Amino acid sequence: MTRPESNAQRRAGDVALLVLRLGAGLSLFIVFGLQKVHDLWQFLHTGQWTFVDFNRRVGLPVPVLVAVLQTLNESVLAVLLAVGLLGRVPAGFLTLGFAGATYYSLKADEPIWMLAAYFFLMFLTLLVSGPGRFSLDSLLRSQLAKSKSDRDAKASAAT
Amino acid sequence: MVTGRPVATRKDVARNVHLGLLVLRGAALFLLLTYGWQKFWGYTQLARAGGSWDSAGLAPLVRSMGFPLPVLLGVYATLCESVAALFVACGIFTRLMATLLLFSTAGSFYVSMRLPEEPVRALLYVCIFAGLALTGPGRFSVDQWLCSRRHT
Repeated sequence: MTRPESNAQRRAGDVALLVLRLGAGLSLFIVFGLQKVHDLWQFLHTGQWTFVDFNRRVGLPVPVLVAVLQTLNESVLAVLLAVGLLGRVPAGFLTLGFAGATYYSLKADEPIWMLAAYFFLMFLTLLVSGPGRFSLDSLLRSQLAKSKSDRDAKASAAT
Repeated sequence: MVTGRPVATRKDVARNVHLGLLVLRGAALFLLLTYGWQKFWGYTQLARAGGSWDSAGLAPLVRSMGFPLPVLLGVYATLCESVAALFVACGIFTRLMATLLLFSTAGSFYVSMRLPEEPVRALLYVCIFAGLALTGPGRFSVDQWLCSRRHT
């Protein structure tokens, strides 16, 4: 038998999801995402990118495409995850990206595999739990529901 | 995401959050296996050998950061990353243990900011244990199992 959750417990859960989203999403964007966007920009001009070289070294197929996708993951999707937009989609892609990052860093014997594994666990948690109530999704949903109920009220008043 | 799909029920959402917490507690197990066990073993060896606690383990690092009681704080950090991490992973006294780990990892974050070290990992620990201290262990834990036994 499990006891029903109180409002306070639910709110605490939503605050925890917010902490996880902001912690994982923003730190990923600020520390790694911005650097990768900068490197991608350089790559477009010079054709040199150490991330592509790493992908080639560990035997990943289409190394340039993988590098670009992971850059999008760590920049655009990291911000979307932090603000809680598009539901579980950013968490899903980030989980996939960091499962790969953990595996290939381990394969290449890079010490950063541990950090990748922590990101993977956090994104997997957010994929399973969803973004919680303190997210832009939730805000948009409530705004949409409010405007719909306003429209319905006006329509019923007119008839 | 605003879609035309039926909205998940409150029960579904709660179950997903409990599953998510179980996954998140895996991070505590990971901490135990990667750092905690090694540190705990180091202190055990030190206790067996009867060496000086003042110049071994984490104490010199803690002292160099200017914290008081370096031996005690070193042992505290080690116990947090081993025993408390194991308790969090199993979901035993989770809120208390996660709070202890939160303080310990906040200290690690401060240290890694002052040293030329990667601070992101410590920041992730802080977020993870802050989350678990706020929510508790969730349904899939020893705490919850004991609680449900008491209520039946």
